[in-house]
Amino acid sequence: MKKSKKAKVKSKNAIIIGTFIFAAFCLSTLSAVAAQDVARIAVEPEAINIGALYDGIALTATGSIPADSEAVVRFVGAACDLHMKEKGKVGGIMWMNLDSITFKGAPSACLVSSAVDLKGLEADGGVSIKVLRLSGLKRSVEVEADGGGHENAFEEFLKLKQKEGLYREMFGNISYESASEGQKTFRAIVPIPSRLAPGDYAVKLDAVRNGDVIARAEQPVKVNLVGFPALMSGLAFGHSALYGILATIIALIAGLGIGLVFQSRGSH
Amino acid sequence: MSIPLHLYLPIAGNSVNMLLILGLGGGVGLLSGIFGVGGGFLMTPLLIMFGIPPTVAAASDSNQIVGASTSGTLAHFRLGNVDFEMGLLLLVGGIVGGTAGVQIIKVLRQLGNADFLINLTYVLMLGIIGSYMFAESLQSMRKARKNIRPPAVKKESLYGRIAKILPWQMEFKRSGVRLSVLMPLVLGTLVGILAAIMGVGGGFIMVPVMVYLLRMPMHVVVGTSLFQILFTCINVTVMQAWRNHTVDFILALMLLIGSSIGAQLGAKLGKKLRGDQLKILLASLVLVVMAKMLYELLARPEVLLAYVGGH
Repeated sequence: MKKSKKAKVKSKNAIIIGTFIFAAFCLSTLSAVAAQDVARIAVEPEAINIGALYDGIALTATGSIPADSEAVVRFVGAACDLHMKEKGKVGGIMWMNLDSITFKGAPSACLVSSAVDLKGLEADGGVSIKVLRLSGLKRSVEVEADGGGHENAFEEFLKLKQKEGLYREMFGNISYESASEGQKTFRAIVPIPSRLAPGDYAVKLDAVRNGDVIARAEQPVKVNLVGFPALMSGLAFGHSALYGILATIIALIAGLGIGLVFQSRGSH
Repeated sequence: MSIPLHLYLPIAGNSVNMLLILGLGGGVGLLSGIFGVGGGFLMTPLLIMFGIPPTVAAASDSNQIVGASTSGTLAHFRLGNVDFEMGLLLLVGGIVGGTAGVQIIKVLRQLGNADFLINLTYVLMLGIIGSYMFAESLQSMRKARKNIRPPAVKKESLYGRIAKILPWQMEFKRSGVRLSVLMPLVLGTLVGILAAIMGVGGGFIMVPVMVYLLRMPMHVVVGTSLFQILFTCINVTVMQAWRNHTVDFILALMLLIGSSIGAQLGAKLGKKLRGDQLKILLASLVLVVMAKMLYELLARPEVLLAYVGGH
């Protein structure tokens, strides 16, 4: 009887110890996984102020990703609907705007940065990386047009946006700095174009392993008109008649002043 | 410490190199000083070429011409070269035409064809005026070489006979002509429409209209044209700013500073050239700009999409 009671206690202890060891293993594995597949990002500056002397800026994004992954940093504008006209030949001679076409849900800007060529990352396989590229926007941007024959509309849209400098894929502008405990730190320098509309933007970080996104993070960036451009824009759009009259009066005074200066110089 | 060279234009929605815009104003001002034209027909296409949206380029150029024509009108007024009666009739027509032109542009912007119309109007006007000036100056150069004198009495043309039978005939003393008041009103309206669409003062259209259709003497043409252009452009600037929000005042001011300096230098340079040489050079310049714009209409565009409603 005593022997069987001792055996029971022993087996109970073994179960408890086993459970503890299993729980500890699970926890350590989980924490290791959590530590590996985490992405963090910080952005400098957190807001872009467009003043009188604004000519684009270099936005810096820093953070960390799992050591065995690649960082893809995207500067993305808010989704909007863009109404456009598709050009076609009239009478077989002249190019003219013809059919109406709307691109729904297109980001106002999309600058994709990576340390290595995105084509190389795409070659590794995986589906997610394709979505991160400019061509991947085709999945989210809806094209609405009159009639048919608009098969290349999205490609033309990409061309237009790339020409404006608002859509761009660049590589080599992300550098990795140090790695420890399964994470590596990075620094991305994203050149923001001068042709930028005020509004809400975000810097999105995707950690890519074997062509798949394994971790994500993002930081909002606000773009504002400040100082003189804000004053001018407010006048031009909020008090347009007054703006027109002021622009005329100042041009009149400037013309008169310049004329008088040159006339008085000419008379000597 | 480096000197900031770029300036953000809130209406054009882009930043520009200040030296480039001042240089552009100076270059066009130099040519306008040499040839005695406003230079708007050159300025707008050049601004478009440097990335300014066409509707903003055209409207801001009108604003710039307000300043540029102010000093010119003042100088000619002092010399007694302004026919106010003719100028006011052309002005009334110009204001009606300018207002109509702004409305046309507004509708066309909504349809997405404003830029197309601006380019097409340019090609037609530059082509017609450039070819006419080129042919006329070539002819006068040949005549000068052969020393041919024009016939003393010319048979009156059909246009001349129609002009005489129109109602409300009036004596324009400063210009020394007798015409129906309808003529400057209608012609002023047509030039006003073109000025609003093209974003020009209309000088390069108005001067041939005054010389060949209203038959005014050349010295009065220049002063009266400037007087009329000044008021037409004031109207176009206010209307474009109010209705279309396309006037970039900063851009206009930079162009004005550049063009005023350039025009003074050009006027000095122009005195060293003969009249025929000046005319044929200007005609060649006009035709080169026209050929470039025509090519853009005929060649396949780089991108087959355009925004609706400007930028």
